[in-house]
Amino acid sequence: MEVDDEALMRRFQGGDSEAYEILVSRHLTFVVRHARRYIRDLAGAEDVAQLVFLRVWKSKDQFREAISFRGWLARITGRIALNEIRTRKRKRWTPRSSLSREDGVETGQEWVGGSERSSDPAQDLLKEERIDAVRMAIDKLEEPARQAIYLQNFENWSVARIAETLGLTIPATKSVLFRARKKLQQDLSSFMQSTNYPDRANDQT
Amino acid sequence: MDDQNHRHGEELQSLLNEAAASESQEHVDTDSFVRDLRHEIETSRRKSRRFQLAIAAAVVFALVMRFSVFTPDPVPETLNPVVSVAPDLELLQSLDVLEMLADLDPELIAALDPADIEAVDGFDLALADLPLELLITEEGEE
Repeated sequence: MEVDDEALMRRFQGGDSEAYEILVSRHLTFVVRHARRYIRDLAGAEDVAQLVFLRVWKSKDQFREAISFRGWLARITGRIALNEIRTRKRKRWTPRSSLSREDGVETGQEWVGGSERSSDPAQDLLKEERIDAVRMAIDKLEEPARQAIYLQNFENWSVARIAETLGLTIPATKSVLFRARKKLQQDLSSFMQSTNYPDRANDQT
Repeated sequence: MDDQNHRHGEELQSLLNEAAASESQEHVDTDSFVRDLRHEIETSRRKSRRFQLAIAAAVVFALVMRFSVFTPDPVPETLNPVVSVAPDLELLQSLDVLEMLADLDPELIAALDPADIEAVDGFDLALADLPLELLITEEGEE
C-alpha cells in the first residue's frame, strides 16, 4: 500500500531524507508540467522544479496539513515560476538553445506542443492556432485566476482543493473561476465561433 | 440568455479541454534530477554552514571590540601596541629631564646654566640632548 504524501512529509520532517526523495520522484512530473505552463521551455521548467524541491527541503517545517502536499507544491511552483518570469524579463532572458527559437515566437513563450497530429495539415494548423490562443488568453489572466484555471481544467482538481491551494475560501475560489471564465470567453469568442463555423476561422489572423 | 451562456460555457470548456489534452508529457529523468538535487542541497548546506560561521565570527568580534572599548585596560600592557614599541633612549632621557624641571619656576629654568643641569645628581646628560626650549635664555643675559 502506497504511503500518502502527508505521511511521507511527516517522516521527512522527522529527518527521513528517503521520504523526501520518494516525494520528489512522485511529484516531479507534476511540478515540471505545472512550471511549464508559466515557463515554456523544458530546461527552464526543470530549473524551476529544482528550486521548488529545494524550497520544500528548506521549508519542510512550514508545511502544515491544512493543505495537501500537492496543493502546497502547486503553490510553491506557481510563485517560483512567476518569480522566474520576472527575473527573465528583467535580464532580457534568451532561451538556452537559439536553434529552437522560431521567428515570430516570443522569447520564452514557445508552444509546449507535441499533441498527436491528424492527416489534415490545415486542421492541425487551425488546432494549433486555437490552442495557442487559449494559452495566451490564460496567460493574460491575473493570479490567482490563472493558476485556478490551470488546476481546474488541466489537472482536474476540485474547487475545494484549488481553494486550499490558493488559500481562499470555496466561494471566493468559485468567484475567481467564474470571472476568469468570463474573461476567457470574451478573449476567445472568435475561436469559439470558429468551432461552430470553421470557415470563419480562415478570417482570423 | 441562459442558453447562450450555457453554450458559450460549453464551447470554452471544449477549448480548454483541447488545450489540456495537447500538453506534452515530457519525460524527466528522475534519477538524474534527484542526483542534481542532492548536489544542490549539499552545496546549499555548505553555504549555510559557512554563513553561520561567518555570523558567529562577526558576533564574537563585535563582543571583543565592545569589551575592549568599555573596559579601562583589558589588554595586558605588554600587548598594547603603543607600549610594546621600545621608546628611544633619547626620548626617555628628555622626558626624565622634563619631569624633573616641571616643578621649577619657569624664570629659574630660563636662568639655568647647562652646567647646573649637568650637576644635578643622576644626570650626565649632554647639553645637545636637551630640548631646545630649555636652553632659551633671556637675550639680555647673553
